[in-house]
Amino acid sequence: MKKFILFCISVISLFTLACFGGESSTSPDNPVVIKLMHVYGNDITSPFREGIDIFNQTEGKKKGIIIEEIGAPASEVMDILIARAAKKEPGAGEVPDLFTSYPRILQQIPPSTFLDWNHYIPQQEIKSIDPAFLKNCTVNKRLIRIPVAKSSELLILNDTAFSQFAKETKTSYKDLETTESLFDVCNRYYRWSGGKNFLQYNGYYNYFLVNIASLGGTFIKDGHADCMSPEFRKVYMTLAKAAIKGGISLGSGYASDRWKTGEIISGIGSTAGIQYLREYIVDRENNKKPIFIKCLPYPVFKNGKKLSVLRGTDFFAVKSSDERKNIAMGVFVEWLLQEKQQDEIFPQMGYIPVNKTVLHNLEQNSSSISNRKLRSLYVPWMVMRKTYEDCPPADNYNSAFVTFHNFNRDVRENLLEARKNYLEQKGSGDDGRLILRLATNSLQRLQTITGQKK
Amino acid sequence: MKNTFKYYKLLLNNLKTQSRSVQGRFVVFLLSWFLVFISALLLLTFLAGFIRPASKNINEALDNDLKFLSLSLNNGVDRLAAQSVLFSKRLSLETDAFLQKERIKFSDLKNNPELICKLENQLFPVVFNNLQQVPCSGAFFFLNTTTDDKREERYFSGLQLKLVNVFSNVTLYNKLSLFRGDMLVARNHSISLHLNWHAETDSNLYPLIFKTMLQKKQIDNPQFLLGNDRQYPDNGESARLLFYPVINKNKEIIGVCGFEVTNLYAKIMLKIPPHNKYTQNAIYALLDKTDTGYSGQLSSGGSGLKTNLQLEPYNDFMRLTHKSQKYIGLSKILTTGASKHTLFIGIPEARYKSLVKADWQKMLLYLTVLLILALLACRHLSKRYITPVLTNLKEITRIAMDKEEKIAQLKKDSDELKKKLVDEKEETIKKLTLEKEKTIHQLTLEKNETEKEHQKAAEQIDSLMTSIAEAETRFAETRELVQKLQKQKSEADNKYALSCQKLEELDKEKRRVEENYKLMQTDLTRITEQKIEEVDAENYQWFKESLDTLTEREKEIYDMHLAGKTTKEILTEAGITENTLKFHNRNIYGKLGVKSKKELLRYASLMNRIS
Repeated sequence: MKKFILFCISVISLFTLACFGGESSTSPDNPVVIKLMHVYGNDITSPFREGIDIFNQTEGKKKGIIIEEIGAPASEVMDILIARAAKKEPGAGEVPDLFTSYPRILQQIPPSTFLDWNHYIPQQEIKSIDPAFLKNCTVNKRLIRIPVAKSSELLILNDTAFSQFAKETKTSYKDLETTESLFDVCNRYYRWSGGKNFLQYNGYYNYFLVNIASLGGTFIKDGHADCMSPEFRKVYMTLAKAAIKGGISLGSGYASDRWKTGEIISGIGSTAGIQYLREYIVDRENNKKPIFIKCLPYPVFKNGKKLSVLRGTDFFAVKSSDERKNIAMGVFVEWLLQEKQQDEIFPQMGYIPVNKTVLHNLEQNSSSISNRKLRSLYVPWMVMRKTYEDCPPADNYNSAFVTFHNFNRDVRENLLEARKNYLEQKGSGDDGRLILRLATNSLQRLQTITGQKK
Repeated sequence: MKNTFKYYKLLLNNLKTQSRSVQGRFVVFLLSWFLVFISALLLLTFLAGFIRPASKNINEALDNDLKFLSLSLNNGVDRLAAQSVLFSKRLSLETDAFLQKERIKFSDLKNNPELICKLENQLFPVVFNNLQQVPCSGAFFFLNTTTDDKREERYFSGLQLKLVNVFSNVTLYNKLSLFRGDMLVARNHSISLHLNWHAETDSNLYPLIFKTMLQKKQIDNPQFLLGNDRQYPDNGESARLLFYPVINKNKEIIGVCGFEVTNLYAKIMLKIPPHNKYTQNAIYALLDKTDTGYSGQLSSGGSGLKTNLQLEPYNDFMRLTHKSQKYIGLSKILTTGASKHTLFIGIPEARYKSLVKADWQKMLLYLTVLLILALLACRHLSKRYITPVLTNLKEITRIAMDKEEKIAQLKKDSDELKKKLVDEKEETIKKLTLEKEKTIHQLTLEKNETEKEHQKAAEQIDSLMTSIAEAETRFAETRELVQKLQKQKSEADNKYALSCQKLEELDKEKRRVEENYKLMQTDLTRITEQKIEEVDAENYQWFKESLDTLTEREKEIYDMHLAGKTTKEILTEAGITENTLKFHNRNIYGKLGVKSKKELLRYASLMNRIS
C-alpha cells in the first residue's frame, strides 16, 4: 500500500513539474524582454538596430529573448537620463536592464548594482577581447562592464569644400597635422569664406585631456580639471585665439549639425560620428550638393607627443532578481562579441571591433573596404593606431561625472562670451592685441568659474 | 463430524470464489459513484466558469486588451485631433497676421525664401507649443507654397519639428530638432537639425496630405485624418501623421498641420495593459488595407513599415502573418476621423499552441489526480469493509479443519515421522558402531605396531647399552690394572734402587702388562669399530654434519626422541597433531639421512659414545 501511495505521489509530482515547472532558463514559449538603451545611433537604419532585429529573429527567437530598445541618445544625454532614473526622479523613467555607458556612470550608480559578466559570458568569448580594451573593467574582481566596440577621435574633413579653399590659398593637408597650423588654417578659411567657421569640436574635454598629456602635463588633478597649469594655459590660449577670431565654431551640439548645411567643413570628434555625417550638403533653397569626406589623424601640438584618446562606451547590466533576465543579457552581449557580429555591425558605424581576430583583419585590410566613406575613416585611423600612443584615460574618478559635463559647458560659454566681446570691440585694423587680451580674460574667467582662482 | 467438515469446506470454497468478485464488484461500484461525482463536479465547475478551455481564456483576455487598446488609441487620436484643430486655428491667425503685417497676399510667399523663412520663424513657437501639448514624436505644418516652383519635383514649405531621441518617451530631457524648414529657424531657436533635415518637403512624401492641401474647393466642415503608415526615405523611420487642414478666413485650404507619431514612439507610448498569463508577450498592429493584403506597424520587432501582411480567420481568432512570424489574436476596425484602420492584437502562434497544450495537460493532471484519489479511496474502503469479513470466514474454516481432519492427518504424519525417525536412528547407530569398531581396530593395529617398533628399538638400545657397559667395564678394569701397574712400577721404581736385579723381570713384566694392555686396547677398539662397522660410515658422517640443519622445532622433537619419549608423550608435550609429528619426523629423517626412528637412535647413541 505504501509503495502504491509513493508511486501515485511520484507520478503526480512529475506530471505537475512537467506542466508547471519553475522557469530558471529562457524559453521560446515564454520569452523574456530586455530593455536596452544604447549609443549606437538613433537612426532607424543603424546597423546596430538592424543587428538587434536579426538577434530577435534568430538567436533571441530560439532562446526566448526579446531585446527592446528604449532609447538611443548621445552618451552625454544617456548619462543624465540614467543618473536621474537611478535617483527615481519624476518623469525620468526606469533604469534600463542593459545599457552602454562610460565608467563615469559609476559615480551615479554603485558598482554592486551591476551584473558580473564573468558569470554570464563564457570565458572563451571574454578572452577573445583585446586585453587593452578590458583594462579597468573590473571592480572588486567583478567584471561589471564589458566593451563590444571602441572608437577614437580624429579630424573629419569636407574634402570637396577644402580642395577649393586649399587650391586658392595654397593650403595643404600637412597644414592640418598640428593644432597650431590647423588653427591658422581655420582663421585663413574664416577670412577666405567671408566669415564661415572651418572647424567644430564635438567636446572640449578630450581636446584638453589629449593635448595637455601630449605636452607632458596632467589635465585631471585631485579629481578636478586643473586650469592653472602652464600646459592648460597653452592649450586653452591657442584654442581661444582661433575661436575668438571666428575660425572655430562655438555652436552647441555636434559638428554634424552644421556639417549638413556646409556652415563648417571639418569637425574633431568621435570616429563613430561619421555615421551622422552626410555625403551631401543641403542649402537653404533645398539644393543638394554631393561632397567627399576625408579623415586625417588627430592633430596635436607641434612639439607634443602623438597621443590618441580611446573612446567608446561599455555594456552595463543591472542585476535582476529574475535569473532569466541575467542569462538573457549574457546571451545578447555574447552574441555581439561573436566574430560575425563584430565584423558586420561595428565597423559600419565608425567603431573598431574588440575581438582580436576581427580587429587584426580590419587593420590589415582597411584599404580594401568597399565603402568609400568608411575606407576614408579606417585608413588614417589604422595608421594612427600604429604611430600614436594611447592617452591615459580620465573618466573614472570621484567627480568625473560632474567635471565632464560642466567643463564642456563652461569652456564653450566662456569662449562664446569672448567671441561676443570681440565682435563688439573689434576695429578695422590689426586686432591681435585685442584677441590676446580677450583670450587671457576668458582664461582667467574660466579659472574663476572652476574655483581655482579667486 | 464428517458432514460438518464437508459443510465448512464447501463454505470456504464458495467464499474463495465469491470473495474476489465481491471485492471487485465493491470497488467498481464505489469507483462508478466517484466517477459520477467527478463528472458532476467537472460539469458544475465548467458551467460555473471555473474550468474553461485555454482558447476561451485567451479570447477573453485578448478581447479585453483589444478594447483597452482601441479605447486608448481612440482617446489618443481624439486628443491629437482636438489639438490639431486648435493648432490649425492658431496657425491660420498667425499667418493672416503675418501677411497683414507684411502687406502681402498668401500667393506672394511663393519663390520668396526670405519671406517664407520669416513666416516660419514667426510660426515656430506655435508648432513648438502644440508639440508640447500632446503625446507625439513631432508636430508640423506645411503651406501651399515653395521657395522655388521651377524645380521638377514639387516641394512645400513649412516646419516639422521632431524629438531628437526618437526612442525616448522621456520628453522631459528630450530636445527638439528641425526635420523640415529653413536652417535659420533652427539657428535662431537654438535647436539642431535633424539627421535627415531638408529645407522643404517633397510632395511624394505625404501624398494624402498634399492631395488634401491642393483641394481648390471651399471647406465648410473640415475633418481630421489619420494617415497611413509611411516610411521616410532617408532613415527608414516609419510614422503616421494626423493632420487637419489650415483654412484661411475665406475658408480656403492654405496648408495642413498636425502631429507625427512614429511607429517607435507609438510602441513606447501605447502599451498593452499589464500582461496576464494569456496575453503575455502580446503584440498589436495598426494596419491599413492594401491591394496585396495589409501594411502598417507592429509593436514587436523593428519599427519600420511592415508590408505584405496577411490577416485571415483562424478558428475563433484571426491570424496575422508577417514573413515567417504568425500571431493568433483578434482584430477590429478602427474609424478615426475620415480614415479607417484595422487594429489587431495577438500572441505568437507558438505561445498560443503552448498555452492550449498546457491547458490540456493541466486538465489531464486534474483528472489523473482525481482518478488516483478515487482508486485510493475505493481500495481503502474495500480493505476496510470487505477484507475483514473474508478474513473472519477463513478463520472459522481453519478452526474446523483443525478439529477433524487436520488432527488425524497430523497424527498419521506424526507416526510415520516417528517410525521413520526410529529407523533412521537405528541405522545411524549401526553405522556409527561399525565406523567406531573399524576405527578402534585400526588404532589398535597402529598402536601395536608402534609398541612393537618401540620395543624393538628399546631392545636394540639395551643391547647397545649392554655392549657399551661391558666395554666400559673392561676399560675400567684395564685402567685399574694400569693404575695398579703404575703403582707397582712406582713400587718397582722405588725398589729399583733396592733391586736392580729384579729390573729385568719387572721390565719383562711391564712389557707383558703393556702387551696385555695393548691387547685390551685393541680389543676395545675392535669392539668400537665393530659397532661402527654395523653402521654406514658415510651415513653416520652425514647424520653428524646435518644435525645443525634441523630447525628449532625439529631439534626439540629430535631431543624428545633421544630422550626415549613415546609418540603420545611427544604429541602431548609438543602440543601438535600426529600428522604434524609425522611431518616433522619426515623432515628430520630426510635431513639426517635415516630411514627410521630406530636408525636415528642408533646414530645418535653412537655419536654420543664416540664423543
